Amino acid sequence: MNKDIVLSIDGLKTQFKVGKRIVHAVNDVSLSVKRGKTLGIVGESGCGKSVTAHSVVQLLPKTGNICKGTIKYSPEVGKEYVLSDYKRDSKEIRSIRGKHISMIFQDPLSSLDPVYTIGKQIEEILFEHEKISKNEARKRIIDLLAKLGIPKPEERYNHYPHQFSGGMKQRVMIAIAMVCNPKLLIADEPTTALDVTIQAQILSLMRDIQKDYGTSIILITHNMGIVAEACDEVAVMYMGRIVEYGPLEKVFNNPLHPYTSALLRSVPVLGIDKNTELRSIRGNTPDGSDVFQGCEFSPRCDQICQHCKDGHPPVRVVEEGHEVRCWLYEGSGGSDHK
Amino acid sequence: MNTKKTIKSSIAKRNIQKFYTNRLALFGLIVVAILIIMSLIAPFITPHDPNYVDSYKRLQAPSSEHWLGTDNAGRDLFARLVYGGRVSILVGIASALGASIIGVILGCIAGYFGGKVDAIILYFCETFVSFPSTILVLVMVGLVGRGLSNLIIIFCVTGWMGVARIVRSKIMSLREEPFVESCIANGISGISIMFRHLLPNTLGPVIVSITLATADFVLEESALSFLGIGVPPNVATWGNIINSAKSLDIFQNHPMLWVVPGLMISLFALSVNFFGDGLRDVLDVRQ
Repeated sequence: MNKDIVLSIDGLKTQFKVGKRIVHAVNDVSLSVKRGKTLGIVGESGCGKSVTAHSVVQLLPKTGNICKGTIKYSPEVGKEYVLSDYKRDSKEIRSIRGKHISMIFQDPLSSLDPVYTIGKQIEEILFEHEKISKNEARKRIIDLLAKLGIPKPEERYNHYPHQFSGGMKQRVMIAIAMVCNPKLLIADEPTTALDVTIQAQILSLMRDIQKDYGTSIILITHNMGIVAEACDEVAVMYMGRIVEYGPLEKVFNNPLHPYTSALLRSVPVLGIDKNTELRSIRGNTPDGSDVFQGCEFSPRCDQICQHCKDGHPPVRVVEEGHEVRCWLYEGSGGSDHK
Repeated sequence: MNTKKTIKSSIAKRNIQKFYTNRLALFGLIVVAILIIMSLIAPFITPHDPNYVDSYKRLQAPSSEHWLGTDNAGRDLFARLVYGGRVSILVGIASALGASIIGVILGCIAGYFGGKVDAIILYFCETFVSFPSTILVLVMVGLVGRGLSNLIIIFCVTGWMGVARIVRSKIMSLREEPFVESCIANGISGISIMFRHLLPNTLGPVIVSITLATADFVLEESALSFLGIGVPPNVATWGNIINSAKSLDIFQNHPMLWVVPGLMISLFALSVNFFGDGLRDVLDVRQ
């Protein structure tokens, strides 16, 4: 494994059993997260971005299963864990969760246990993973709370979750996630439940954390604006596959996949002419249990070509580090069809 | 460290205040406390032996020596009441705690693991519930014999279903809360989530049901003793006092002998219930 990479997912396939049907939530996803960088996973709801992230720490519901692929995690150069080999809820994976890889969830309002003070809840994670005295733990947590912009941390330490606002609760969630100094932070739509001003604060907070601790972040979102603001690399997912993957500037300035460009066209920009119509992508996301002959996006694609119904397009590296999964770039140099 | 203490005490202060504003709960607490203290310090508040039979002093009216008079065997009624409280309250509280512990553990396991485990526990629960509880207790008394500890064990074995069901259904809904996922994602083990996070969230209804059960078991002990199959009649309990007063003559001419212990039982049951209600409000941190 490349020494700059903290997490690499290779050919991940995750399925769900819903009654007798099998839903292919994630199909052949490969990506890697570089040390100290942020990878954004974007896509509409149900495209498999959360399932990909949950697969990393085996946090799938009982009906879900990783059936193919490997997930490798390397906390430091030379050390490597194969997370996909661990059993769900085994001791090994539990020692990774929270300590090495931690998560922030969408809904901070109900992600805290209402019957304990927030200090107790942060402490619990610390005691679970580290041998540390009570006083030391308290000091460290109060320092962390202060760093995360929670005013009067000594006092807030003894407050219950219902005494916090939504934005403050999300800061507490970040504190819980960061208290053991994890190498990788998975943020599953961390700002969706918050209003726009708090969103900006939380995002800049996460950037500060990254700067201070060198944490890598996987940021899951459906908001292109957040991706543009917070990410170094971006993976665009559609129907359980990564359709485009590359560095932020390359993907945003030169979107290759028709889906990516359609997504970017559908984002309102400040100063947009009020007479221009905001573009939407026609049609709906297909059902996850449908089996497709060709490219999943083809029924909604504006640039459909004769290959599209034939089979799944393979991944094609168009330029350095910029991958796309589309028939348009297959064959002679790729740029012909553009 | 100092700030921590003041904050802790301010939370305690708020809780006490919350409890004070609930008059009924306060009344319940005071009555329960008085009754418990009275039975604990029984030898200091009455010089009489509750089991001392004095056939010359049968059925006496209240006097300065015998505050509530004597019963048909010449035993001091007041002494019997305070000593009897010891046994009755002990049976009530011990059985309620025992039954609730069984119920909470089984309910937790059923609710958290679900599936087959849940089905088996629920099946047991329903089997027990489907017998009328009095008959079940009667049968078990017949099997293991009467006696104080036997009675408590029987009450525990036959009384856990209510709590188990409450805890199970609460845990089932709590299990889907996002904070549980957050705990799992932070490496907390299943057992720890179950007992440290889910259980405390069910504590409100559990405490209420413990207090309700305490009152119930006191009543049930009285009923069984009255029927003559509870605590052996030589031990003074509130039920046994009424039991020894069940001849027609006493019923008609000496109402003191059954009204007073009856009032004690009702007063205790009622006060415990009021207290339990107040306690639930205080323990709910969300209020």
